[in-house]
Amino acid sequence: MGRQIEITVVEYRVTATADLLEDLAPSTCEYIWESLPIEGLCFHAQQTGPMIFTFLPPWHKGPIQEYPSIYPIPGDVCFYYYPPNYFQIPKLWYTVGRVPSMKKGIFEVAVYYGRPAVPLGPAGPVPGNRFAILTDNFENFAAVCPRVIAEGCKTLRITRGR
Amino acid sequence: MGRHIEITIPEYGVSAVAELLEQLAPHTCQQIWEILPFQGICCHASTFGSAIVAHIPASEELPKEENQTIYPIPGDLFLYYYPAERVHRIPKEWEGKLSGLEKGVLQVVCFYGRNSIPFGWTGPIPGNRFGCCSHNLDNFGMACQRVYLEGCTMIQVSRSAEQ
Repeated sequence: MGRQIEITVVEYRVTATADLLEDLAPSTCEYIWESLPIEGLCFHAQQTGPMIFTFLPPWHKGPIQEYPSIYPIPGDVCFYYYPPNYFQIPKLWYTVGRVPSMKKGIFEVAVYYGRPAVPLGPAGPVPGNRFAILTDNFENFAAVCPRVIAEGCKTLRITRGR
Repeated sequence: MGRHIEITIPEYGVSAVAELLEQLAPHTCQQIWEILPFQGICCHASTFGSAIVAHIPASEELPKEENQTIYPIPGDLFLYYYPAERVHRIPKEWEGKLSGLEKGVLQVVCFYGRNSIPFGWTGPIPGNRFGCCSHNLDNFGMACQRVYLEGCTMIQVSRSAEQ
């Protein structure tokens, strides 16, 4: 078995395990692995549908496209990069926690928990590097994700697993 | 001047005033006017972009297609109607916050930001564009962002005295 990561919505005490797709997206997996552990604000998609996301530290050797897709399915974990000033982050977001500056570009990890989901940005569908897939406890994890839009943003923790 | 309505998020003490587009959507405007004032739960969109969605239980016949579009701009008010047999198509995300909608539901959707498209399961869903916010949209948009960051809250819509 390859490497795994664990993804937790902290307030709901729910953790799911994801297998890294190291054969398909080796550089992305390495970048993610080296960035862990991370803990950040957990936002829900506004346009994309059943997806939650948080921000990542910059990928200094990247970003590169690796196994990109605009057709995520439930359980997919994808990496996104938006170049500087690709969009504007509302000022209010900076009052609730640590949110990176748009001036340096945005690095993001998104977890898809349902269907139908279409990753739409201001300029159309946005390809993301699909680098992991949720396995253990996905159903319980998916069950709490909708609460992130109904109850407001939460905290997402991602750690190294096995 | 035509009729106006006022949309308030009491938790944040913010109101916006919208003009009803009576020439473009006369039946929709009339039916909205007749159910005012109402109070319901508003949730932030998860597939409509920068928008909040207010829910009102409804069981009577409601306007058919009128002034429909899938291309909102900031300030636009759209009306969607889900009869009883289609209530299940409302995004699951809000379950637990909504109740009493089994006989059908009206959604008043207020778009406050750009690049928003009302997506449903089968693609963009046209809505009846019946109003346009004319006052205080910037502050109202900030309150909508708080609904996103902090969760569903109460919303009130009433007739406005403004002329």
